[in-house]
Amino acid sequence: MAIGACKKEFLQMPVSSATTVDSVFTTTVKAQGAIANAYRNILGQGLPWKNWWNAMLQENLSGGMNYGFSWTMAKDIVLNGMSAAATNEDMDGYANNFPPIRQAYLVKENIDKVTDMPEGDKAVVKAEMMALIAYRYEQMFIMYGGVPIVNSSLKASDSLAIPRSPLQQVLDSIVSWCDAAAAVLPSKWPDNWTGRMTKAAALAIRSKALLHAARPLFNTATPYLDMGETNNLICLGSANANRWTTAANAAEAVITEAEAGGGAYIINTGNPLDDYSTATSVPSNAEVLLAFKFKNDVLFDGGNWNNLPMNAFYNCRVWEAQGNVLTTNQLENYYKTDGTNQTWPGVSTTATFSDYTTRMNQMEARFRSTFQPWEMDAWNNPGDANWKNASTFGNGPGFGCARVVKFYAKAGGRAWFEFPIFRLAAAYLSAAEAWNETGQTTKALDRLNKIHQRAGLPAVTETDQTKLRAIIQREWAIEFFDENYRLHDIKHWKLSNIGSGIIGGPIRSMAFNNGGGVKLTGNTNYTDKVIYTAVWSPKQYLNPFPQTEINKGYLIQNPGY
Amino acid sequence: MKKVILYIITVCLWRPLNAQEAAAAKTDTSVVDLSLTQYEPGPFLQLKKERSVTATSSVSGNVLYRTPVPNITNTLYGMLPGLTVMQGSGEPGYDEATLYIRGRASFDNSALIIYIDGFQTTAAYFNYIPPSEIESISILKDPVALATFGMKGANGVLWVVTKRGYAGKPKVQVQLLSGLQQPVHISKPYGAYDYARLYNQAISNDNYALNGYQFKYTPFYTNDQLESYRNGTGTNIDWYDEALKKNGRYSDANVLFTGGGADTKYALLLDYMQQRGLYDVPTNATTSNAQIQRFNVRTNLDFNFFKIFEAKVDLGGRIEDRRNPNFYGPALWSMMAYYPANVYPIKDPATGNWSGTANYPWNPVASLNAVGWASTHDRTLQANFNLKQKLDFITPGLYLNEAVSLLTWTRTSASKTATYARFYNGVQTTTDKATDITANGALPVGQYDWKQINITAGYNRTFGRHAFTGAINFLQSNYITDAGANNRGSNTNTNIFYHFQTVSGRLHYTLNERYLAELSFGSTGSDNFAPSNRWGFYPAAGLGWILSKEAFLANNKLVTYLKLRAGAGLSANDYSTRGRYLYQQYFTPNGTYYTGNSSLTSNSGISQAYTANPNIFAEKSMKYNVGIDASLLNKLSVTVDVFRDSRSDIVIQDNTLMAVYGGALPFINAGKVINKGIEASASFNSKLGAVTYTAGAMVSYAKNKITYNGEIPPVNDFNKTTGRPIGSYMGLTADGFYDITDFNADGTLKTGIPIPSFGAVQPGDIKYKDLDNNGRVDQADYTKISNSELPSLTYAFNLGVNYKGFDLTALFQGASGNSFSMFNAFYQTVAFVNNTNVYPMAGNAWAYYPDQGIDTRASANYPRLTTRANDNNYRTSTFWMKKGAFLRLRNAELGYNLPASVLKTLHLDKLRLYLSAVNAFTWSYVGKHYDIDPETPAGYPAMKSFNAGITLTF
Repeated sequence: MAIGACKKEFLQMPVSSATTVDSVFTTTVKAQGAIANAYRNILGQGLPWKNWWNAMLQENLSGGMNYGFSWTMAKDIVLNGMSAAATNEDMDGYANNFPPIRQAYLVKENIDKVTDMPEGDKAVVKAEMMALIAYRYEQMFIMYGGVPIVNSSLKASDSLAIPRSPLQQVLDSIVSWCDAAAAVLPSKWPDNWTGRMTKAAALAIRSKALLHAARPLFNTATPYLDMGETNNLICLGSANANRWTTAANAAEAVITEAEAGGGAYIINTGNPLDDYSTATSVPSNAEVLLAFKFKNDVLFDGGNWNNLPMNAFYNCRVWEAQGNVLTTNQLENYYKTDGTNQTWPGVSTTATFSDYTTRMNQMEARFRSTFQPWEMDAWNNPGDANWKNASTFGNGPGFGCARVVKFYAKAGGRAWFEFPIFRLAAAYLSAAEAWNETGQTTKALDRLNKIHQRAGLPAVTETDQTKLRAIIQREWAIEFFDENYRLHDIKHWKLSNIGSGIIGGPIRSMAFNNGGGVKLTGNTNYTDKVIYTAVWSPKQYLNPFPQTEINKGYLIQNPGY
Repeated sequence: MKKVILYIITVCLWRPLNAQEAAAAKTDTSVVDLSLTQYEPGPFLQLKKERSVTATSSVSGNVLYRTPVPNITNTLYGMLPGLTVMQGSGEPGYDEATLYIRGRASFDNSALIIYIDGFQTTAAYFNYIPPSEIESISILKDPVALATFGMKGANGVLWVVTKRGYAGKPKVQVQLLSGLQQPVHISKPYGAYDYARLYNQAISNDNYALNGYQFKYTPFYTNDQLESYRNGTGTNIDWYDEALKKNGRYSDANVLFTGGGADTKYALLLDYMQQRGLYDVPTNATTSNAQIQRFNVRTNLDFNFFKIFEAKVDLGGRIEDRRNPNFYGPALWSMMAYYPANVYPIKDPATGNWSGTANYPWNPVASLNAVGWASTHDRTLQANFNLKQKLDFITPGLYLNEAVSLLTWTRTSASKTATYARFYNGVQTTTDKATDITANGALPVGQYDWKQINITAGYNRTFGRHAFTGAINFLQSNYITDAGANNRGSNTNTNIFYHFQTVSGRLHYTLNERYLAELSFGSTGSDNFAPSNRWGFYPAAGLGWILSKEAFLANNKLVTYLKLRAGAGLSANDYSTRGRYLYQQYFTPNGTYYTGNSSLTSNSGISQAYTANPNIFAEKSMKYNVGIDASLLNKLSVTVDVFRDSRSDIVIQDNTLMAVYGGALPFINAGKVINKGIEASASFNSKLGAVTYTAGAMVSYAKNKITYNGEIPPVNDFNKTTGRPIGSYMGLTADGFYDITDFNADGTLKTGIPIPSFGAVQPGDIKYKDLDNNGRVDQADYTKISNSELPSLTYAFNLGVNYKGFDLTALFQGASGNSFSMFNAFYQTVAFVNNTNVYPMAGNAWAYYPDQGIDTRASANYPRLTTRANDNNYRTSTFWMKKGAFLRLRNAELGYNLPASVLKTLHLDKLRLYLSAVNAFTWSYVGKHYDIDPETPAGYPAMKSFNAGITLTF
């Protein structure tokens, strides 16, 4: 019998079409798959792209929008606060920061094995991966404080009990990674590769980290809650005004590189509605330094609830997105077209619906690009059947100051959009905020007004540092609504009224027809009404680490959890 | 006459073992192979039962035939100590029960394997093998027997032997049976009046918050509507009555030819079975009842030639035809369960078309009549060839044996389909249009084939007081399945080839006919593992002592047979549900990312799959078994076995790695479970005047505990599944209902009452205990609330009486220690949500509408009704967990055997007429209190049947 002879072959695994580690890093084409995956999974941080049916937007938590439908993750956080045992603000969960970081390290460590890629390109790929890792760490730095630093792709057999590094060390790592990456990265990519890391994007990551290091939450000797010997995990140990100078210079560096090297600019053609719309909605516009280029081109995935695409949460033509409406708390931040404040009816005050329409029509361009009030077609898609009053009305919660249509200006039937991770405008506002803190009011006003005036508003002339600070903070809230800045801005500014009408406290919105639900047409009046009371406690300045990870015994929990 | 009586006694016993039974079988005129009583079924050796050191329980095919059911698994209730049989659906063609040997010892794959005539087969092949084809079924559960199966044996083996011919005059046996089948139980919802009445409560409850946190009665149905439902003028449809017939039918006919001479023996069996289901629709060109028919041919031939050769040619062929309405199975039954009685008349009165609405598109009656039918056509062939060379000329007792098995199965499907337009009140309600029926040709939908070869060298010899029997075997197995069915874990699907080799052996030694010892081993090489890590070696040893052969018991009148035995050994399982090739590092496609400016380029992403573990290997089982077999006064036989199974190396994902690792977690061999238990069986027979009576009982108990499963450390210690039995229910602890006094005026819970995190609550909702006292009720308050659904205790007892040719037997089987989750009867348990129905179970729901005279606060046994999804109430908690215990009368039979004198004049050997009842009675906790069948709570119900049959031998 010949069985003995073929014994070894008989038990051999059959040839399969699967890719193994030996085959993935052989050619440029294959390696690009690993690179693409690193980009998507790193840059998707905090965004509802993973097809969750109960995902949320960061603005659901900041008081800018209601918490959305009752099944979203946001509801529990808004009403009960964050807890170590529950899903938290970053949705993905703390543990899921590390798989994409690992992916980036795997690419960085293995790209040299690719046989058909020029050495220069390999160096750029490595720099891209460092910048991506820096981005994810910068986001963790803002959300968690000090976190464990991973310097390579770890093996399961390595000692994995890596403790949290002090805040300063995490900051230094981010800055050094960004510096190293920016030195190698191109200022611009060829058209077909637009969207990959550039020098300006790496500098923007660095700038965002340094800005948060300068802000009061971390730039202090006294943390928000005492952790004793481990206070260095949640504050920088001293209040140092120089951190603002560093932040200002970092922001200026972004502006210089982006405009001179990358060809970016603040779009200002004199038509504020169109300009702001273009800056926030048009893929790869001149203002975008880095975007999440993730395209779900089927609206709502045809209604498949097990596979909700990102557009289901942002595109107001989708039922799910219609659960998110504007709150009065945020509405009050917007200026009128003439730069003055709008007077809205106070809490529990009722006014006629025509008054509502009149006041809405007086709002500034950024408001009109971002929202669609009731009984109106969207200003940002003029004449488009997809954005008529009836097209986006659907099935919302019944209350709300207006519908949210940001990112979809002149999108028409296009389902997808590119979430702008860094816009050049953020560098201007970062610079304005930092210069104001260093007392350089002129520089601050110059940077601020570039953005403020682009929105069609008269220039700001305030020179009092405190008052100007409030104006700049208000500018952030308006300019970057729904762009995942606000929630952490509020916390890092340590605003004194954070718990009474911003993140916590009464969250207000508008009810219609004597306190009831809004109608497609024929509304009679509107009332500003408390829709719920959100919870705030100081522990929520930073996110908890999940209890399941704490139970492994190597992590120190943030205070209060 | 006496012979017949003795035969009946024999087949009533579970473990025919003593001399009397053997004698009875020998003199029986019917076709019973003697090997069952003489030799213990099992691999390689022909070993007399009395000399066995293993705990093997067997049952004969003739006993199984007495339970007339289409699926062989449903004949096994209470037949084999150590075998747990869990009843499933009663749908024709889809009615297999789930089998476990000695409970469950692994939280990974715990499926047993099935051998037919010495070769492994699939469960699908076994399920529809007719009992008339079976000589015996045994379960191998003992360490010594299972070691020889190497990496396949850990979960136990079901060992099936088919009927063979034997030397003697040709015999023909004809058996005919037909019966009516009815559902064991159908739980019916409320009629239209109660539905509407309670719906009014539910909708009012839902308006509680809108009405300023007050219970204001805001009915949906008017009093006039309610009155019309009450007096019968309103629509009130009992969907079960409308869609179902009173009875289904079951018929089986078979003919067995046996006979042969010294050199040639044959057994030829033809069997036809047909089952027609419960749907009230004819089977014709455009519609079909649920049905299966089976054609079966088996030819087992034995040849001896040239003195040294013995050959066997066994061919088993089968065709299974299943046909159903095109809308059928669980979907159809859920429609019947959840479409309210008042939803619409069957046909729209205004147009005469089938009724249907957007919410209720699948009118059950229209689903049977208007959408056509679907069918499958299965062909199976098992062909085994065996050639033995007796090498006594080299040394007496030496032989070689080669055997090949080819098993192949294919399934094709065909259907005729149509759609119909739905109407309500004269208006078409959906976009469906009535279409003509369309035939869809036969498409292949499934297949497998299994090729195996066994090469054995064996030796049997007795030298004076020393008796040896032993064999060494090489098995090579090549299984190819269908990609569509190949989905157990990672890297399956297109990896359809399953290869393994096992070298195994047994050596049995008897000293002085009373001291017994056996060594066995299996060594398997599996293609699932890394090349350097493929082979595992699993030895076992057993000892036995036949005390009744000792001088001090030799002439004892009381103890006629007494044996003690013990065994210990290893076995394994390489078929993890986690997947194959876990040693190989894969990269898998993972989404798409875009680059580009004016036009986007899509870049397909790829990322590392789970981290490879080059050391991944088979799950290991260390088994111990101690047993005793005894026969007292030649009337009572008793067998008791105690076992312990320590599983280790169960494949788990390594959840203990820190988050910073960032890789998909590797699979490792680390899980541990301990399973232990006891089995006992006894049979008794005696005679009182002309009345012969028999009694038997068996009990199997198995209890397992997870000692390690790599669980992510939960928030609280009491959340852990570690340390608990496999499949324990984890959930919240219910603590009554919220009362009106628990709430503030603004609808919030009063200070100090824990806040549940599963949505807003109101009075009448289920309140839960905050076990960790953190003021919140959430998943961190989960703990073990109930046992698993697998019973820890199964038992059975039978009784038989015999008088002048008449015989009456009854078999009862029951289980306990299992839990029943009410969500298994989902539509019955969850009232109204998603436009569903309401059942009497919710008849006393919490409600408080004093103006309407409704106040059930004190007596409520169901949370307040709601028409909306309610994540707080309808979630796993102690509220919905019930005892799963039950007892059934599985089979009862009344028969009459014509006396020998009459038979002689008719030139017959045997003529038996009988009536039997399957599943005639059930007693259960959930049946009594909640109107639910404990084993088949929803979907196509299990069947009970009343049958008449005849057996004729000439």
